[in-house]
Amino acid sequence: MAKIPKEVQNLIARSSAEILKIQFEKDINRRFLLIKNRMIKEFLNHPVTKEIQGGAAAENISGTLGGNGNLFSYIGFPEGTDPIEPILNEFQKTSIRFAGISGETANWIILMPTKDDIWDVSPVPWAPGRSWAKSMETGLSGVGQYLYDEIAEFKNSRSGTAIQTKQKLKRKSRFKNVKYISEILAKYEKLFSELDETAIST
Amino acid sequence: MKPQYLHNVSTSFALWLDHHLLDKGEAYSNQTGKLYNYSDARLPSGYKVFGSPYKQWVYDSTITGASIPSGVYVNSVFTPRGANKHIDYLNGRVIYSGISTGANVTGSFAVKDFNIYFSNENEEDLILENNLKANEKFSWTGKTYLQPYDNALPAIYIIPDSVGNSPFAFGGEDETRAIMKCVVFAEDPYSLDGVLSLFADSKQKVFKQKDFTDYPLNEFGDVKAPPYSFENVTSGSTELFLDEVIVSKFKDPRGKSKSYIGFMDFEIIKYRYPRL
Repeated sequence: MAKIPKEVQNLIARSSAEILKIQFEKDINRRFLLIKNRMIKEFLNHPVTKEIQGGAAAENISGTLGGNGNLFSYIGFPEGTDPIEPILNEFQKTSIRFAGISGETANWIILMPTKDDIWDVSPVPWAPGRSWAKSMETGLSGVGQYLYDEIAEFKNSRSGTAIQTKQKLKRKSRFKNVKYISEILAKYEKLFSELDETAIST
Repeated sequence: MKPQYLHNVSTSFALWLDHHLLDKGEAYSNQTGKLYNYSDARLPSGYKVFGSPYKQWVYDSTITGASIPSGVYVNSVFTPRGANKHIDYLNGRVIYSGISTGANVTGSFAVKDFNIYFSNENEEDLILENNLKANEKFSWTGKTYLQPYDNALPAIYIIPDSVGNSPFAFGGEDETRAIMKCVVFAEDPYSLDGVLSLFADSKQKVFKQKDFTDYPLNEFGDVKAPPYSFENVTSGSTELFLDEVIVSKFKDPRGKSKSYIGFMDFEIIKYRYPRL
């Protein structure tokens, strides 16, 4: 039997790898996008996200405030702002990049936001070093609510006083922590890493 | 109930924060002056109280340059602390028996730039309350003495927030994360920036864990076993790790805060076996 020269064998391996890469890239991209879209959907459908998107008139569907008021006012966001958009942008930056073929394996890198990336784009309006998204998980005081109420009272009647606000504050329920960004990121980091297991030899 | 982990970590953190601010930040000033007599119904009869126009005095002898009083001058005669003679560092005063209310009492002492308090109140109550009473709570020259027990600004309030365990290693070892929140009330932007900057730089520092019973002051606010040295108490104890420190200034959209306010959030980690 004729022996195939080494150079020809290498050439065939390279060519087949290139051909398989195109097909493989397409397949992985499709599966990557499915997971990415599920992740974004889960973030947008989270009760905290939906409640904040509902603005100052929303109901406390997240249960964080025991049904009293809503997160938008409790955190103290100014009217007309969209605190969700910067986080959504971070999720949308999630991307896949092929890092090439080494030996018989195709390699790729998935870039997704870290918790710190999310904390950085979600400042508490009255304490910008803090993250409201992180605070959903670790706890947040009602300072924002107090400021929000006082500004609203001032706008509506110009008769609000700190003492009145304090009395009102006492009646309000305390914040209850919920799982939010950390849980979503951990879940999808695992799902993205499982793409690794689909590695096929070229 | 015997002290639990959160008691120990809260005590350790408060002592470290106080020491760090005084040591690295040199946040104190030495004062000399007259102490003024007043009555305090909470004290046993026979004690006479002489107070300064300042709140907390420095009691940590490791603070270089700070005048740590061991006694006061009564009618120009140095009278050290001793039996029935206490220095109340928390209220900036001395509690002495055996002297008359008309005695001329003077002393030298280092005054903290920031009083340190534990608080069970939440942030909104602290901010609201202190904004309403800010002017009363700032000590100011010209006053004879400050009322005992009331909090005075500038101050740092420590609020032990939460503690939680997550699995770390086989065999039952957990990562225990305690969150300490602090609210800083300062007289001016310079000192607020100073405190926030100093503690922002403390991320990834370690400090020693102490027992709840290591708290150095007694019921009179005096050092239990003078001289108190932060370093001595820490020797031989295990360490706590400052995993995260977030500092932030209070942005008041109403623009009517009477004091300069900041927040410091500390996440303290220790690896331990909580179920043993």
